[in-house]
Amino acid sequence: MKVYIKSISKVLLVLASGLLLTNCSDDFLDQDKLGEETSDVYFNSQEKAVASLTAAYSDLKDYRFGWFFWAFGETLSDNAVYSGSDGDNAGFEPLKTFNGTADAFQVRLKWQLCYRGINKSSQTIEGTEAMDDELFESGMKARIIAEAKVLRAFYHFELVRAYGRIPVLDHLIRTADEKIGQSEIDDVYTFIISELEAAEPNLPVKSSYAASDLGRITKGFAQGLLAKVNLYAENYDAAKTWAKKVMDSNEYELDPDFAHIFSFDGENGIESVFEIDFIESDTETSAFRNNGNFQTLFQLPRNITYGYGINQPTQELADAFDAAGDIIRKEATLLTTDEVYANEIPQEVWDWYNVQTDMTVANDSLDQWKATLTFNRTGYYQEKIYVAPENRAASIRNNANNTRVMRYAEVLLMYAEACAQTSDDENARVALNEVRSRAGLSDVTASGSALIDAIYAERRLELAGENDRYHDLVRTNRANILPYWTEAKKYWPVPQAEIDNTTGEIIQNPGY
Amino acid sequence: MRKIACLALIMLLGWQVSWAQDALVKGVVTGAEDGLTIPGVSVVEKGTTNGTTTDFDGKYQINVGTDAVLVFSYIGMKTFEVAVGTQTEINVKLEADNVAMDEVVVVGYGVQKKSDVTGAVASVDFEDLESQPINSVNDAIKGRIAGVQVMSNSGSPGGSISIRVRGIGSVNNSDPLYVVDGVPTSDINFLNPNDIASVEVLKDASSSAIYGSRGANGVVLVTTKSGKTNTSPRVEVDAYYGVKEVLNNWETTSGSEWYAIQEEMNKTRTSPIDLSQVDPAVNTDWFDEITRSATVQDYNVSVSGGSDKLTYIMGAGFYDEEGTVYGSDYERINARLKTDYQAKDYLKIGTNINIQSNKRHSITEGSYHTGTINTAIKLEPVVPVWKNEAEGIYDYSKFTDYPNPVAQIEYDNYRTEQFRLLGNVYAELEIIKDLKFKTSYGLNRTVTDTYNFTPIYYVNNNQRNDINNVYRGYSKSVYQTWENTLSYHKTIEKHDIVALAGFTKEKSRSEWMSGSKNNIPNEDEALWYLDSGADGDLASGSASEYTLMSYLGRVNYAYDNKYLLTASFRADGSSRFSDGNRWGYFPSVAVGWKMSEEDFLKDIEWLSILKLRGGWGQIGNQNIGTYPYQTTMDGNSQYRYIFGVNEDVYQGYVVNAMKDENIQWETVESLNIGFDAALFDARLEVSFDWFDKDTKDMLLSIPIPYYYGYESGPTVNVGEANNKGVEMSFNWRDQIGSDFSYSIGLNVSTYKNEMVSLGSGEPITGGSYYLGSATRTEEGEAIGYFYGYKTDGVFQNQAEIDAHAIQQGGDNSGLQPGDMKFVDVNGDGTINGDDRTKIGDPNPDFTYGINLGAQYKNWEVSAFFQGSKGNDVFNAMKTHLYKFDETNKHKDMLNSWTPTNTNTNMPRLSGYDVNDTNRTSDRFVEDGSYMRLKNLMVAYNFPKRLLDKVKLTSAKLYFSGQNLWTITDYSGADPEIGQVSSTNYLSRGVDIGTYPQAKTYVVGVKLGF
Repeated sequence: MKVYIKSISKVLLVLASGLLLTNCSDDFLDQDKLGEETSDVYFNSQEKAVASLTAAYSDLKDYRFGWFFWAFGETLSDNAVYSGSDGDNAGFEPLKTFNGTADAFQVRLKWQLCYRGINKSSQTIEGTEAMDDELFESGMKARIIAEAKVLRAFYHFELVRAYGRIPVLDHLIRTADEKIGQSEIDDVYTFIISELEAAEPNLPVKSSYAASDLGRITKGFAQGLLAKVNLYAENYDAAKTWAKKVMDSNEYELDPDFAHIFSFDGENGIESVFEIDFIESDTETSAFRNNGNFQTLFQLPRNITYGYGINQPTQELADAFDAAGDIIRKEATLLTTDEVYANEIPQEVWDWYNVQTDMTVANDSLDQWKATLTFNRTGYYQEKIYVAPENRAASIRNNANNTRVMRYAEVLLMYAEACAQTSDDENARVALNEVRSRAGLSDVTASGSALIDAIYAERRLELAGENDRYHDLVRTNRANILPYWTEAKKYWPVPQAEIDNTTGEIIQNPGY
Repeated sequence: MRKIACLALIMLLGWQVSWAQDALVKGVVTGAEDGLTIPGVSVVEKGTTNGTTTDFDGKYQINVGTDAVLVFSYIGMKTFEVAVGTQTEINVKLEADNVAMDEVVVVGYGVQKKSDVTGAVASVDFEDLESQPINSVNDAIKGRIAGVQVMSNSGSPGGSISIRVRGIGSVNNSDPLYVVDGVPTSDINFLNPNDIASVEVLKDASSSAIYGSRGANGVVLVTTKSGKTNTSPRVEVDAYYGVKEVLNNWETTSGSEWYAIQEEMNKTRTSPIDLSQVDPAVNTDWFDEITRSATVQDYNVSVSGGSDKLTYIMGAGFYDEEGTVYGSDYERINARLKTDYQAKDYLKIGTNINIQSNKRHSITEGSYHTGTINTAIKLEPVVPVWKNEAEGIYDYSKFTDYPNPVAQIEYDNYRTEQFRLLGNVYAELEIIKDLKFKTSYGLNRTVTDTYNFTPIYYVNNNQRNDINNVYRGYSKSVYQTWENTLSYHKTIEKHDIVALAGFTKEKSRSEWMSGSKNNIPNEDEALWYLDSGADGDLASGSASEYTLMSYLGRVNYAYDNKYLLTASFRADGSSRFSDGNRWGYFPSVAVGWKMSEEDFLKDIEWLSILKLRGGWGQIGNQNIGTYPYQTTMDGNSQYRYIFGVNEDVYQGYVVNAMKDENIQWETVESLNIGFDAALFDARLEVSFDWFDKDTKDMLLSIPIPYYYGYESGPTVNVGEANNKGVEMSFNWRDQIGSDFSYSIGLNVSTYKNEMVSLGSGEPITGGSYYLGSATRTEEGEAIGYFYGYKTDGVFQNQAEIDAHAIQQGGDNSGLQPGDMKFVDVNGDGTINGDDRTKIGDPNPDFTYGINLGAQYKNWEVSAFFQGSKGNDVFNAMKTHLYKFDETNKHKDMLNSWTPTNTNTNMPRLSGYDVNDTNRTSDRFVEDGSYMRLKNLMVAYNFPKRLLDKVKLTSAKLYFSGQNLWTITDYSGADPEIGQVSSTNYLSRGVDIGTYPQAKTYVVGVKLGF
């Protein structure tokens, strides 16, 4: 055997091995995630805590949250039918006839979206709580947590009034083996109320927020929501107290012009307690990237606009306005077929039509225009969410109109109801008549149960199209006026997928 | 292959030292077939270490005694022995040895004689493919290796391919690892097939375990051509030019047929469509409108050669292919240089550099809403292409919102340009005899530029763009490897040992960024750059990194050239996993027995070689994302909200996905048993393999309760899948007389795929198309089988409806005779989601390739067939073409049920379909079996006497055709259906308007100087 290089090779070998060994350290395998922060280091500044909170708000803007906000709040009631195309309408039919199953995607999405909001709120609360106080401007830490708590309470409230017994998520789940069962309805309300009460002192009133913070959760909304939740929990004294705090805050008044509330100019106006804000972001048109109000697209008249013509108000609702002699609010709530034609058929067509002499030809031509309005099942459309052609966004999901979640008028009606339930008829009538007088209606003088009925009737007309009617009917034990409704179906089924995904901690509601 | 071995041999023998001998014998060694001299032949005195090699001219001289026997050996040639006696000049003609098993094959981190291989390693020698218009490496191996399925996801030039080795290993990424000259890459589509010497596929765990955590789905090793030692410079020029025709079988209705069907459906529609808006005489064949006869051309030139110490090859190539669909094309330029230099007796160095750039225009694919081909199939024929062609105004559908595909192509300016530098440098040091240390640095650097410009256009409200936009994307990826290996080879009497130990480090970094702006002042192409835009600035970017550090080792031991043992081990540390979970260990062992070397078989005349082999190993799949264990903050645009009087948009951040910190790689454990045989003077070669491959710890996203509030659950190692199968190949080659030779090759493979466990997971749906999902993955079934309702013809009368299980409403009251009948699979009297069942399987019963070749004098002819049997296709396009809507209709709809046309399976035309007739069902599942004449080639080699006059050494003219003939029952354009896209793993066999393959006719020349 021939050895070519002896000592040199040995030196090289030693060097090479040395090189290898020094390179064998495990540090080489430590790679940080680039471009995205990992959760363990995220919460390190006030800005980031605020950005976490922004995400907790964002679920309000999700079109699916909005969809089932009205589809269950309004469409299930006697105020509206689902409508849309035959397929759209037929798809909602099982729910509308209270024959829906736990498999329905609507049932699943509402549940899913609310829990997403809860999760994000908990991320904010727990992330912010763990931060050093010095990282915040004065009051900001408490305010961020308070806003997140109200959001978490609001999402729970949306769930409990729909599904009844639900799991209460008072913390963020971090490992996939944790199980949380459903709480009794009373306990859910107790949790929501305690969350709101904890948050309320730390929130600014509407007027003390900076202009750049308009649209955030205010002390007024926390108090209004406390009034509302206490009504659902039938704690009328508490409801009365909280509603009164809103009234005494001098932050809110009724807008003298009812229709103005729902105009672009009326957004976040003097009567507004909480709104979900939308804008037209013209470069962002997809369903999740955009910042527009998808619900407007759903509810605009079908085919004559780009809308889907869904959630059409009923004749019954129109009749209720008429019976009350309520002209102002009917006009601002119900968009009639003729109004649709007047607004949506171009002015040139009308101008041409108005000078025609041969009305057979003229009417025939006009009828062709009118025929583009399809699947008009009731003759009415939701006017509160309607956007006239001149203001309408070019891209279909991008209309900028806000969704009104709570108005001062509702606070007055809640106060009235809480007073009436606690035999304080006098104060009840004062609050009720304040709302009626804005609508151009005469004062109610009734008392006792007649007064309560008058308040219920007022709620329907004042808040029609604002997604509370079905829940109100259930809450006040009047849902049996709805065809097919039964006490057994008082709460919706728990989504079947949730039962399938869990291992026994979630059980189906009775009746399904 | 041969040349590498030759090179090694020369080096080895070059070090031998001659002793003074009795007499000088000299001579010339030539090939028996061609009479050409052969350099580098080993000439050894039998029983001694005395030997030499032939020089550049095939000459040798050696001092030997008169009683000596000289042994002439050369890889690929039969060994020749001659007694010296008194001869002083011995000229030898060596005959070719057809026993291909003595070729060497490339295995991980080294080469091995094929006859010593104990694992399942298959090889494609590209010399055999010389006269075929192969556009990519993938194309070259398709159908040629048993057990390797190559599926085109698209026939688009430069389109993606998925390769599956031995079935589907995972519901996640099942792509094999590609290694080009030792450098791992994510795909091999970019390579110029002309540069390739061979492709080896390591199919089983015993052979791929040396690649540890990346070998689970097989390893594809690509070796590029090298120069040959002691050869004068050889210049090769190859060129071909071809014409392509699209394959299309869609049987869609004419304008008048469509009109008649719509008139019929209008009778039952609640809102009839206004047919007065269209003219039934218009008859647009949209598929025709978007397709063309296209061209393909390829030019290559290379210079190669070598001295006794230096070899080199330089080459350049240009490839240009038009797609058969307008708006798609691909252009590729390659250049390369590969050199190896024996700098010192103990030091060898080399470089290998590949530069590649390509440009690609592509059309919209993979979308079941607006995919260009998808749209062209489903758009109604009564829509004219143009409203006013002179003014460039397109027409559009009056009833649907699908885009005009011709306009879509015109307004789409998306293109990518890619530049790649791939190569390595190495030094190999022989420390002591037989012990070599090799260190090699490899680089794979890719830059991909994307360009787009969206002009202002208006076709109708659904197909419009009001603001023009310029987009620019840039991505860069750098992959670096540093490999260090020590190898040792020693033969002591009957023991032969090859040992390898190595340490490697690899690092990948990739980065992406893009920007776009709006309102470019005019649409001149010179302004399609970001600074031309006035506003609407958008920018985004991301980056990722990962590292891998490994120790590897392998021992090949042979005793008496009969008993073989291979054992390997690899330890991989990967940055993709959390501390404590980073290291994985991947062992393998395999044995072989060359039975034909045993005395009891040695005398069997017709048996040249018989080798049994068996192997076991464990390997991993770390192709599971770069940071799978880290919980991250997501700043998706969905998490924004609006605050303030000015309604400003604020970005929110959130954890939206739960992560499992303890995530680990998927592990594959496989067992392989097989044999290789050569019979009848090695005219027949047979190879057989049986395998059982278990994928354990498969990563699956486990469902979490919705009340957790996360958008997705953690991915955890819970799943298990199994693939079992058999692979066989037969090759027969023979010569009749001196002028005629022929060969027949056949390979067949089959596997059975089963999802053994999903852990706690729910069945996974996939293969989405516009009405739902076509595939399902659940325990006990094949991954991604087709799942839906079964149909049983149509109801012929009311009595049949009354007798049938409830499939509509609560009482079937909406049904009429002529409606589709669905099967109550579970027999509970109601047809609902629970009655969905297996309606098809995209996995074939078997796949095969048939290779026929013949040579007569100067003529060559070859045919290559390739096919698949027993696989199903989910024809999602038919869900449009059968639907009771306004889109284009299938000609089958003309045979719909009516009271007078009852002998049909097509339901009545219903404008109000309460029966959900087009739900996912077996109506859309078709037999996707096919046999295709993939290539047919006729070539003529110009005779030497002609060539000498023009100083050529070789010249070949050939005509070749691809995809000339296909036998299939599939009714779509092309039965070769891969996945919807390269990352949509559970969409195999779903046709949402796949870009079909083309028929290609090519004429080409190959010249050698």
